[in-house]
Amino acid sequence: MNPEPTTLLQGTLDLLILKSLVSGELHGLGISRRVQLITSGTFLVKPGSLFPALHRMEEEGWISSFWGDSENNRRAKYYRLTKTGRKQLEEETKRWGRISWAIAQALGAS
Amino acid sequence: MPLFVRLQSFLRNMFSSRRVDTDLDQEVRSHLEMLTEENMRAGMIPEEAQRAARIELGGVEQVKEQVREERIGNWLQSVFADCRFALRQLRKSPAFTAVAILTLALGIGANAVIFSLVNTFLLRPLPIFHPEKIYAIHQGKQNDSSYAQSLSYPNYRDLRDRNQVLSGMAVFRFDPMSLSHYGNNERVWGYLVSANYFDVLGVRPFLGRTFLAEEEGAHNAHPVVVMSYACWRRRFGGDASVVGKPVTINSRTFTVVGVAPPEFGGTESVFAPEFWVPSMMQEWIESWSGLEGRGNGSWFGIGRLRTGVTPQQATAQLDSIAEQLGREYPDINKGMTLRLTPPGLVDPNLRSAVIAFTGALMLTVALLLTIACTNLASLLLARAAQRHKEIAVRMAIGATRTRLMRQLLTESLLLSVIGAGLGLLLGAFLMRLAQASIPSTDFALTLDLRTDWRVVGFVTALALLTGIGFGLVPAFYAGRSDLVIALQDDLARSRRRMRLRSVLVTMQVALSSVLLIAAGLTVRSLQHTKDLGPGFDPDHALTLSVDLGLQGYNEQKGQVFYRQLGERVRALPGMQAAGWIRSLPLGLDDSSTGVYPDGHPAPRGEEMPSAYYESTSPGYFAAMGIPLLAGRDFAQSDTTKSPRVAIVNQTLAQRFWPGESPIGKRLHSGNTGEATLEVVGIAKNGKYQSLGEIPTMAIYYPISQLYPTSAALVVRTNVDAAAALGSIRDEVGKLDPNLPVYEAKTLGEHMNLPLFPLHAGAVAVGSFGLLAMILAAVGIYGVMAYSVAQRTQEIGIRMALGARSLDVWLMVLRQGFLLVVVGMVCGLFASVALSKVVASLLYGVSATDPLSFVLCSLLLAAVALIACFFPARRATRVDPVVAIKCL
Repeated sequence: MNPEPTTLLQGTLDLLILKSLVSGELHGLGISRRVQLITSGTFLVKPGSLFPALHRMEEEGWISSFWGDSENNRRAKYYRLTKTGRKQLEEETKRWGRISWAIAQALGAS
Repeated sequence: MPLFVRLQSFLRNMFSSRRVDTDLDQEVRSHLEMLTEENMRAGMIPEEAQRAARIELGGVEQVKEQVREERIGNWLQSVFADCRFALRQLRKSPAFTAVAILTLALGIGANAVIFSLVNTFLLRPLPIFHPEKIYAIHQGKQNDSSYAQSLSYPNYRDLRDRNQVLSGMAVFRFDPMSLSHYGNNERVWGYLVSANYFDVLGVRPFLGRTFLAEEEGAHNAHPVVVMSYACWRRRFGGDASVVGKPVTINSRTFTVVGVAPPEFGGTESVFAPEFWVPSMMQEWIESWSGLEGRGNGSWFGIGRLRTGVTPQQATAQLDSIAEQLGREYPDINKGMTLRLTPPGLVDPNLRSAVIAFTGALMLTVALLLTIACTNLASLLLARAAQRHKEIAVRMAIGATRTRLMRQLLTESLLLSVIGAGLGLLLGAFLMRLAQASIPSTDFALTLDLRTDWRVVGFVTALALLTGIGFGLVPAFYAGRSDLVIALQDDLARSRRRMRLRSVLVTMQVALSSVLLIAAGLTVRSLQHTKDLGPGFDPDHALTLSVDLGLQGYNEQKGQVFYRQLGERVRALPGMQAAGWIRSLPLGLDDSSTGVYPDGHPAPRGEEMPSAYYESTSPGYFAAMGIPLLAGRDFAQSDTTKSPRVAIVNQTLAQRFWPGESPIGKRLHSGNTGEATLEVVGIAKNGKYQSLGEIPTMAIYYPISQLYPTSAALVVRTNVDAAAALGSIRDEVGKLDPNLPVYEAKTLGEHMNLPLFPLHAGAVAVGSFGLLAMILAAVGIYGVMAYSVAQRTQEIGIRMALGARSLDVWLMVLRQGFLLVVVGMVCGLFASVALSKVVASLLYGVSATDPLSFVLCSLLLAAVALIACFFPARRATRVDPVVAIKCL
């Protein structure tokens, strides 16, 4: 496992969480593991950052939550994308594309 | 849409916070359990799996706190929580809370009172249309920037008609009037105003109308008045049908045309007029008219700037008109300029004096508040040192540094807000007291120290400022991860700071000792003044005044009135003596004249000896209780036809005829023309203008030979004052039913006026002294408490090594008393040094009066002892075991 993963850029965490929820609803741990998976272990989202972000995004209306049963029949809180959340993901993706292109350009130029 | 979602979240967070919280708790716990299961699946044993899960999670409470901080409305909710918690904390230590709130209430209350003065005199705008465009207009001199004189009516007319910078210009004049109403006659105050006065100010009548343009026309053609709202309520019972009705002023009939709005009382902040009369009626109000004399500078001007015109532009144009007027009337107007100043304080030079005076007061109270804040800061620091365990525990369970600082700031802000609230109440109470203590004068003086939104705003700002000011340092310290270590880390720095605080407290003790001694001296001086006496006997005597001039009396009729009323009053049962004087001694009237003995050439200019003079009737000296040491009193046989006579006091007699009897000697005086006067009596010395004056020469003329148009009757009687005044009023009514009586009171009440500066001084210095003492006590307490808190371990070790509690008592008290003694010695030296300055203000008391010094020092020492007592007691209660464990 990658011991000290890269520090997340402001806003990147939101983007990754939104992305992880595209394929369907997940609980907190599920989101954490999925982010780890889709970033090939580069980003490990700790509960201390995950939960504040989840609750903030829920208050923004990007995701909604409900209580359900986990794969081991344990009660867990699940999150799913809302319509606003999908829109937000599109925008964030575009924005991120622009940023990474610009950064790459900048680094390549010098 | 997102806004709606956010609002929903906000409301949920606010109102179902418990459910939101349990939800969060369950979520984090289930997360922890799932992590454990995951670890077990990976092959860990249960204990190890749980441990690893906890490490990854990083603490249930911390995660929950982090989520809470992200929530919408968290800020507001945490403010509520902080306030609740702060209140609980403050309730837990009532002594600290009471001391802190009291200190703040006193400090902020003092600021509120002084600010109200500033507000009344300088800040509060007039309740009129666009008050910022109104300026007072005075005449100045080209080479004297501080010169200010009122305008003459012809000059006013020219300035008004020739300028293009003012949309209107009006003038006014203060005047007493005698009002006869429902059988009551009273002397009241009002304004003579140009007819455009209300229009220039933009004041609309509450009832009826204001003045019309034609009322500026012919002299004495429009006897109309507008009355003030207060006058209308008090004298006319708020009767709306008063408009159009007649009212008798100076025995002439005027018609009421309107009532001014409630908030409007003219343009001057300390004057409350009852009537406004058009200027063209001057002759009816003042028995003469100076309206057409260009040299009669007696009208106060006000003007409204046109839109877009600056005061500088206006002054420039008015000055050029003044220059024209100087060419047209060189005898009178040469070198004339004009001065535009903010209105409200009659004389423009008074304004700068008021600014300087209130500025000095503001600085003083601001300094007091700063001291109070410094003291509170060290109190809070001591408290924080005592609370370090609580703070450490709260940090351990997840409180962040900023969160803690915010909590501590909330506590200090809560203190300052409560303190400010109390301070505001205290201030309002003190202002009411101040208003009630202003001695009654004949002039319609008013002091409107309202607590308006400006005062409330100022106090709120002070509360926030002080709350943050004294809370910031302790809050900053609390933010350190371990307070005790933090405090020990920079022991050297904290020692230095401790020394600074000790110096500050010592200075406070010195300051309060100086102020207390000054207050003590003032009080003693007040006692002495009463013993020393004004040269007459203020007990069992009363006085009332009449203004015959306003009533249209000529001299002949007036002389008859004075004589008849005197005889009638003397005939009443219980009246021992009665006599007239033009104006009572120690009043506001200040008259002096040049005198020199017969047989010498008249001294010139500055050389002319000056004496206080009065006109009195037979019986005056007996009524006042002033002994006649030789010769006789005036008599009915002294008339305009008999030789001119005078009575002089001892000082005059000794100066002009040392060692000789003055009776039968002759002298000249400035205000009796060519005639020589024969001295027929010698009166005991007295005080004439102020209680503190050096012996002054005085000369009395008989009223039959120097007629005053208004005079005060003095009556000596054993009858109850109210009853006696009532029966004297009846006699006045029998002689002239329309004549108003004013300033009817006992001579003792009359003495309130000359004693007022001393009373006010004693109260002011005394309250500043008490305030300073309380602050110093809080300062001593704060420094001692902090020092004890810092030395807890040391004290614990001492006790473990065998120090008895008496030793600890002595150790702490010695340290505290060192501060006090040094401060008091400094204060005593300063007081003695200052005593030379103070000596001139004290009557009959040595400026180093031992009683004042000893009593004030004892008081201060006692208070300081109490302030040291509580920290010392805490020190003796240190448990050695606990104290050493903390090492």
